[in-house]
Amino acid sequence: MARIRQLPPHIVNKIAAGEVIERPASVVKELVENALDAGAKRIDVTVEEGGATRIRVQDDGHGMARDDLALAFRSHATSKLRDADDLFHIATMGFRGEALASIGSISRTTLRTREPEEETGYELVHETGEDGEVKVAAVHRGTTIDVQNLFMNVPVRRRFLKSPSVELGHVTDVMTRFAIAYPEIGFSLLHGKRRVLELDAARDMRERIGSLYGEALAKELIRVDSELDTTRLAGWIAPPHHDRPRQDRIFVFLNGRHIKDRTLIHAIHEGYRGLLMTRRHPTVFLTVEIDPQEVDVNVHPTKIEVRFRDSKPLHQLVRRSLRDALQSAELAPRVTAPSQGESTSGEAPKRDTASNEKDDVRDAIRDYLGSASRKSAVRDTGADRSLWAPTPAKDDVSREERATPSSVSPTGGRQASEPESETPRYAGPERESSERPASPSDRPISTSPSRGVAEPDAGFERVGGSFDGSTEDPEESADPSRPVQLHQTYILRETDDGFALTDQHALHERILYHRIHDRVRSGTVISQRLLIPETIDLTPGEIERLLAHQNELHRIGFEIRRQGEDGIAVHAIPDVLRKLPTRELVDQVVSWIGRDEEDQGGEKDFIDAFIEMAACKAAIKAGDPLEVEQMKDLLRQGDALPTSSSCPHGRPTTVRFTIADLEKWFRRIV
Amino acid sequence: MEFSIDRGEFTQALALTQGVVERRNTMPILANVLLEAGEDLSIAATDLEVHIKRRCGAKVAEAGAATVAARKFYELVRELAPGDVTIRLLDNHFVEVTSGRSRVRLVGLPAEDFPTFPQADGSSDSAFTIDVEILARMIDRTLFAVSTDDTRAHLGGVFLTGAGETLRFVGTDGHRLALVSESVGGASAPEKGIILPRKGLTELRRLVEGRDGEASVSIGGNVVRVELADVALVMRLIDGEFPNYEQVIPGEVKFRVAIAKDELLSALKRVSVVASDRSRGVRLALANGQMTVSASSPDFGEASEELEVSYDGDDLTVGFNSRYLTDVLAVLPDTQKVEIGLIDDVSPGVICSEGDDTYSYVVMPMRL
Repeated sequence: MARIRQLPPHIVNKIAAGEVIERPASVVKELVENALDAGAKRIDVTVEEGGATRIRVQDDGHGMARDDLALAFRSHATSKLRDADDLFHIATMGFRGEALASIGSISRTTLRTREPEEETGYELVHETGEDGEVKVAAVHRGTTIDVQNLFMNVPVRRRFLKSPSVELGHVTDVMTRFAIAYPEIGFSLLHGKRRVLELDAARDMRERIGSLYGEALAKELIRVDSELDTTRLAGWIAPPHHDRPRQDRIFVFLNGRHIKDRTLIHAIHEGYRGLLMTRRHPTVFLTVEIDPQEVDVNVHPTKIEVRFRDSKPLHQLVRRSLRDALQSAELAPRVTAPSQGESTSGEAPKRDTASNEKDDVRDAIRDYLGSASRKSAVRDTGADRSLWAPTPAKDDVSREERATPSSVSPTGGRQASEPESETPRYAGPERESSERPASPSDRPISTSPSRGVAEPDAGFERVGGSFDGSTEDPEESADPSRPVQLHQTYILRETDDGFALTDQHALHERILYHRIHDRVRSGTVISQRLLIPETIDLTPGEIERLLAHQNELHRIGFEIRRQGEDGIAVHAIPDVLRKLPTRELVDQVVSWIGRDEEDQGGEKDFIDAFIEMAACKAAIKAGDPLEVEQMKDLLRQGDALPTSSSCPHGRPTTVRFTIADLEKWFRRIV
Repeated sequence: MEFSIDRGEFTQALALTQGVVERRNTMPILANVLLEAGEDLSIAATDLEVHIKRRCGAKVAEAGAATVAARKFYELVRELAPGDVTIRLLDNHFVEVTSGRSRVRLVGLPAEDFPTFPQADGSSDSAFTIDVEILARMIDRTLFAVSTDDTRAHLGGVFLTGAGETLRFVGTDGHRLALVSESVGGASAPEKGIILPRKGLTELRRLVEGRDGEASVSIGGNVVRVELADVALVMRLIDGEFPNYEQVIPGEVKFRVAIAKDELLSALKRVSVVASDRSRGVRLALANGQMTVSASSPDFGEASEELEVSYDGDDLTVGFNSRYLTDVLAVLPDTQKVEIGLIDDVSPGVICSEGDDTYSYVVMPMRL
């Protein structure tokens, strides 16, 4: 029988190395952290073959004294922690005293260091756990650690290293994270002779993001800065259209350390709720400064996971701050004109010397374009009118009927108003010509804004513009605010600095989303009781899940009771979704609640999901023809919303184009 | 095939078949009518769910059959000059229409491709005759309550059942239910009950409009066949389990209120103008001798109207979809008061004509 023996320190270090050092990128991470703790202002990293043969990290920090060198590679030897209490207010990056010991035990590591005030530096070579002699050497200020042949004595690990390009990718990721978290520090990364990163000290995080990801992103970033008690949240977030298929641009730094925390990532997505399509992820750079006592970073050797004493307030802070920032920003994506190549700039002088003749041509074209657009407007709405002539006429009648109830005869059957409503159908052309001379103000005001487009079903028929589509009226067609419907799907309108295209379904959906949301909040969701309660078989887990949310379900219009062992009976359903099969509705709700439970943190998300679905079902669809007044009304309501730039599914509702873009397209300017 | 027929009579006969003609046009032949000339003329149309065949007198010169596009044919015949019109089958299934000086050749399809009209095989499970006026009224009072929702096929028709001399129609969409029972002579309606599809009943209702006399109904296999003097209609039954409708009819209501039908109907129409969204929810508030109909929505405003009623029960407020109320009021007779029976704000309400026990309408409340 084997005896129990204490493991010798070099074995312990090798085991620890297995935890801390997974791959070259881990070495880079540990060494850069050390460099940062040493107060470096510039950190240069060189790797060879993805780091497998060599990793060198050079800093200009405060270096080490000769006496300390002897301890540098000892495990649990650290300058950063003195007693256990310190563990709970850790302010430095490293603290476990494992990094160098681990690295040293599985490689040949050369340490060169010089303290700024000293004239001489020292060099120590350490190979697989054995210190060499400390020698005096001429070295730069700061510390350089040169790790060669990583995993030289751990063949298994060595075999499991991926190709140099993959390993370099990991190293680059690590460096990128540091670069974002520490914009004031210069970083460089060399792969062999190739320069991968070269980042001079930047003014702030945004400038650093610009040099990493391009100015286009940096320019659009929205500032986040908020505080709650001792917690400070700061950083930059990108508008929703910079969304990504993966979470590769969500960066969260907790007290300067990159972390991946599910609660925080969830909170970030919550902040973007309704602005992103499903399975898309935002671009976010956040720093969280929190009292070290509130968080335990000593959960995982690589410190990527942390544990909060109470994650709820932080979740809320993140979600609210992001939401507020996004709401205050103007989110509609702008379309920019294709940037002009060199060739066009060559043309510019030519145009400057353009003759009068050329200007004449330009004017002629402008005139032509002007009249053409007028013409097409006439044609469009003309067609609409002939198609829709009966509808507005009928609406006029029905509106009168509603507005002055006393005019309805007591016997008022459905037929009562019919004969009147029929007549204008045939009176179309005459009426139109007789109306033409009338000044615009004489035209009937077709609808009050309050009786909005947004009323789900009958709404659109009701608002139906009167005959104000009298396009022959020159004033009317010149009206700059007059929207035009394109392909019965998009609404085109002029804006102060250009024009905008709106997706009618997406915008209406967004409007209804807010409306239903208000109803849910005020507890006035309309619920239709069922004549025969619908019994639906579910698993015991699903039943519990539903019953646990009775109150919320009641708020959105459901009434559900247990029915036997393995079913529920639905007694009432939300009226807006009455057209859906009850079974489908319940399955949907069950899956939403399930999703909430998996996500934790996000309380009552299924209500939001419900509202989204209800809004989508009730909204006008692409292909629904709209009258001018309906479009105006829709746009007006959209403008009144806090966030209308995306529909609840995250599709944009409106895309803006500037006049400058137009001028670029037509090469009026370059 | 060749026959002549009076244009007026022909137009009328063709009009009856128009509703059945398949609109979606999945099978071209279903967009056609079949003309069969024998001793007299028969005109048939079908969408495979509902078959209709109308017989009319014609001077047949040569027996035979032809099919021609139903809508075009009808439009054409309607516009012809009064007098006789002659129809002749030419080669290649062309159909020639001559009337006065007009001569039109229409493209046809082979008559043998037209689906055969389901014949009565004499093995019907049950059969009865019914006065067409009663039949029309029973359809009117139930068909409006039938679901228009494709996802609930079993609610997409009127349930027909009977016991002894009584014939019963039931229509529901899951939110309200209309039930009418009439006693008919010599009825032997199937006790088990069958579901008649909405479209078939709509067509049947059209056929019996303005007629009198009797209809003979026979049910067999999965079809029901209705014969009138010169028209036969066969519809395929809906396959499905009709819900146990009897359980939803409250045995005993707690509060009863009687009110003039017109007053209530026009009050509902006025008040529901401001009702919210598609639900058109209205509240009926009962107090001693008075009923207040009201509605409100943040988007449109609020409205209320007080009606004098005979009521001495407790105060009670119940919400309903106003359309469910106006629908039923529209089919109730003007001459009688309407009686509304209520229990509380979550239990079904029952509406009927005062003193008429042949019809009742059950409607579920709404939480507003």
